[in-house]
Amino acid sequence: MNRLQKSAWLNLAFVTAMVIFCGIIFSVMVLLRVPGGIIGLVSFIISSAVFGLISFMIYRKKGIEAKFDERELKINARAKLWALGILFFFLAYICVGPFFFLGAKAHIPVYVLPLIFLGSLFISQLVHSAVILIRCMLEDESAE
Amino acid sequence: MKVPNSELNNCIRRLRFDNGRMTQQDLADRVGVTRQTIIAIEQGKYSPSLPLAFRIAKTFGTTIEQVFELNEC
Repeated sequence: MNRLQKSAWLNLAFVTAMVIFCGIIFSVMVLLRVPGGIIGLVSFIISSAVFGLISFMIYRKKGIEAKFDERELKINARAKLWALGILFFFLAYICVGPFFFLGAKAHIPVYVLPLIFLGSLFISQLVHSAVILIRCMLEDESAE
Repeated sequence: MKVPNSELNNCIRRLRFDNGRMTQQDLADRVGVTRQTIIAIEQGKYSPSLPLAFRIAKTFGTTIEQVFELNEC
């Protein structure tokens, strides 16, 4: 497995773990009917700081992407483009779809918004990693 | 020497064998890329940048024109 594939798997594993963890936290908060206001804001700031610090520690030590050669950089850039495109379509359908399905005057609960954010994050990373891994797999099959 | 799907033809494989049966990994280490990149270049699936092309030519002790040929078809 080359550096590019390792990076793709690592990013996918990290984002998946983060999405599952955050999904569980949000579900618990919704079920417990945690109140908003100052308590919610402080919880959000603390959890963002913790997550940001963990991400910084992991990605600072990783340094894998800094050692990509020119071909790997191109593959990585193309994968990011695909991820951005798919993310755009996902957000377009998720955000605009309910307007047509549910009607202009319908209401959706607030907890849907963080779920959309987590879903977007997961899908974009999934596409990014999948494009890299599929490209590497196809090249490995044709290699001598 | 013709390889598909690329604007460039190359004879890297032949030059490797002519230079002491150099492996793809050896060449990759000398020019600072991965073996997969060398494979992709040899198969014509990837066109190297100018600096990389020069490094490859320099490794074989030849000019860039003798390693790569523009496919004008």
